[in-house]
Amino acid sequence: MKCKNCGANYKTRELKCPYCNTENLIGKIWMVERGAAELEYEKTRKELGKKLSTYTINRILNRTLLIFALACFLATVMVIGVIFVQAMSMGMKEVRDTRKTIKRFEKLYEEGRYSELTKEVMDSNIGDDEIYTYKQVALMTYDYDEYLNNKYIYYGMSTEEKLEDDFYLEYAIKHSVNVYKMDYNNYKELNTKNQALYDMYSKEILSFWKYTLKFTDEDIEFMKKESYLSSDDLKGLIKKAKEATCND
Amino acid sequence: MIKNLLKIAGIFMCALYLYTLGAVLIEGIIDATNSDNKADLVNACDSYYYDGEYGRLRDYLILYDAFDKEFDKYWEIVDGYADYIQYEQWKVTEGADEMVEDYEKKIRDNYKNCQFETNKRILEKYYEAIE
Repeated sequence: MKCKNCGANYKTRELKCPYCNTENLIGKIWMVERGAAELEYEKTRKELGKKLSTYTINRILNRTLLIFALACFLATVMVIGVIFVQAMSMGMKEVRDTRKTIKRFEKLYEEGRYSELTKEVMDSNIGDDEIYTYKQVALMTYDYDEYLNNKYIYYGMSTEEKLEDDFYLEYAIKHSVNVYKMDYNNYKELNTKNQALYDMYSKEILSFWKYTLKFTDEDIEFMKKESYLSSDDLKGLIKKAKEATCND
Repeated sequence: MIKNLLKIAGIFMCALYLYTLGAVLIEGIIDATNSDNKADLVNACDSYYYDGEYGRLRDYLILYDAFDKEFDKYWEIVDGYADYIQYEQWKVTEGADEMVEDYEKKIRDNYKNCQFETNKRILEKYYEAIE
């Protein structure tokens, strides 16, 4: 543009004439407009920046949540699938191997390996009618083994421990009563094949009751009664047994 | 803000679930390999063994299905102990001479066939009690 004062040519955006220093109004107006435009730009930039970061954060959170949820779902489906397949294959194996399993029960029974038989019978899902004999043996042997376990622990206790702690004596008595009474809901009827084993267990249990715990015939009859042996009944018997075992 | 907090909580719970599942699976694999568990079992057995708590030791061996070779020493002593207890019981039972003889034989055999030096002293004690 041309200076109004000296007529020299200079850029429109200059604030003054570079030759005579006369103020350039157009330049000043341009400067003000430029400042306003810059402010506007900054404001818009900041607003957009906020919106963009919120948008980005939301996007990141949404995707992360989706990935984790999918991973949880897949992991759960995998675990359920593996459990289901294992159960199915065990079930199918069991159906195929029923005859084999029963033969194995027979073998263990004939060899007198009653504790092993107990474990295998308890783990099997074979129908009750097919293995009534073995299930009865398993129940009797389970209680008999528990009776022996608790008896051995009780014998190993010092007199002071025996006086303080009834747990092992109580459970020795409880389990021995179960065997003696054949207290097994669906297996009360003693199978003739199991008579000899029952007699052996009962003989040993009676020996323990009569000669170690010093129970009388009345006590034994009392334990044989139909109704459930209450905790008071048991306490009375335990007291008697402790007097017998701690005074010896 | 609340929506974002809920999303963060959701991510955290999923991470926790995956971590728990992973930990359970890894623990299962470690249990299946079993090597450290056996060392713990042997330590516990030693504790009962040296305290002379053979009844509890027997119960423990049965509870943890400890039938490997590492546990033969413990089974020798608990079987010897059990035979002795049964002998003591039959000894006081009327009309049980046959059972007493059976258990005397078992106790003698246990002593004569003792495989572990550390068990010999105890089995000898049982043997001397019947002689």
